[in-house]
Amino acid sequence: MASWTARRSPRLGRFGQLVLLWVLVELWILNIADLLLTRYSLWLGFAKESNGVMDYFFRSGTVPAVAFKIGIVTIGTLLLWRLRHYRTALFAAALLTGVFAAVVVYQALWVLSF
Amino acid sequence: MPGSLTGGAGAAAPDPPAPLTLIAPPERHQSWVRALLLSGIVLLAGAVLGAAGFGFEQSRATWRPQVTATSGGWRISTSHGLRLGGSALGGDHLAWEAGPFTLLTDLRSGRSRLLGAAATAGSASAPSISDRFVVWLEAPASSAGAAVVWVYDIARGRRTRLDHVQGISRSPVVSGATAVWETDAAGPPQIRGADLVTGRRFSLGASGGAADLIISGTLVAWAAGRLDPTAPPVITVVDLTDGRRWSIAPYAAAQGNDLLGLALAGRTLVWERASPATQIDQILAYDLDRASVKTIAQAADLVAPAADGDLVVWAQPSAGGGTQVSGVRLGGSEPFPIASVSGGGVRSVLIGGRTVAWHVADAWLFDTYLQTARLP
Repeated sequence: MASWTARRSPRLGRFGQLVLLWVLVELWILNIADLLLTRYSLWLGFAKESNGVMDYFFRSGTVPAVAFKIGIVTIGTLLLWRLRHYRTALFAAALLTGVFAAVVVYQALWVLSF
Repeated sequence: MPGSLTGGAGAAAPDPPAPLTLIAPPERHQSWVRALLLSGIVLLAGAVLGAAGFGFEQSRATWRPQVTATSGGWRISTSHGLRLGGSALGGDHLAWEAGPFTLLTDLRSGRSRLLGAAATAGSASAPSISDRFVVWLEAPASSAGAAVVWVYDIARGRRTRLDHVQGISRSPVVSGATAVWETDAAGPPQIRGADLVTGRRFSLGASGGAADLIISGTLVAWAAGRLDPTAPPVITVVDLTDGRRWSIAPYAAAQGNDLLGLALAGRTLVWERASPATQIDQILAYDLDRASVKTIAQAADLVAPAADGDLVVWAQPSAGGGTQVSGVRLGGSEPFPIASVSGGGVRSVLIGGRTVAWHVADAWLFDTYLQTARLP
């Protein structure tokens, strides 16, 4: 896997790795914001968790949901950081962060509109 | 003898040590900042996408009503062809139903908010409102799913699911913090209730299939038909404080009358009796404590009454071709006019505190609106 990635993905320079680091920090913070907004929307009663996996954990309780959501994203960001020498890691992190930012802003505006 | 520690005149002085610094070189610091700015662009792009999606969704929201200020209150109408349904007045708020949507309009600001949307092809019942809570029922499109009684806490802005209601059910109603609803989940239809603050549940027993269910203060009333179609329905009133019950026949048997609308004005039960034979409708008031009945209004094509406190309001055709919204205080005053409506027919009237509202339906099916006015 590593050798395939090394062959196919161009190397990422030191500046690119700095960008990746910031993007991963933003991704981690956005994940917390998503968790808080989702929990608040569920508490308000106006939203339903559409992600089946998260719905299972939310039904199990807040602590399992928090542990799973923070844990899975932390593992994901660490994995991407482990692959920081490859440009593909930066593209993947940027895509994830962009999507997360869109979801969080949408949720925030939605909550504020109520 | 040990040598001197100082160098001689010919010794070269050592170079001063380079100053220590903890500050990163400027170019390294700049690269961190540039990296942060670049990652911020990714964040910004996502945020703009999310905001645009939200704006697009809101612009296409079919539930958003058209609310315009009038000299006496507000005129509220739906858009996108949504049909205006049942509504209720409480305090400074108007709760109403439009298609699958349940909405709440603040009568101080005119702003509306969406309280609920029934599932695709599902339906929402007419909401009921008190000073603090709104309750309504959302039913799925198929009878296989369970209907849900929802409660919205106006002060906290929070919506909670109250109870699953199986099978045929009637609109839940609320007064103060007490909600009651009908359910036939476990056998024959029953009236159940809950204190929305303490969560205490209670049952008022079999309803016999309530056609109208109302609550005011501690009194709950409902009308249920009988097996004999010629027999009048029975109105049952229960006082929640002591469990006292009344059973009232709204008209004599074999008269061919209809019961249209039921309301509680304090401890007085008010209903409309429609007589197809004489074409004359009557609004009657029955004092539960004195067991006495009196006629409040009598005319053709009366609109079912609404009541709050000791005030009863209704609508009736006026001589000029329009509709007159009128009211009377049960304390003994004469009926007084509240508003004249020209163009369109008044379908229902509402009263809540010092605010009166009426639902007008024009000739066009979807050209309907709610008009509110403050009593002097």
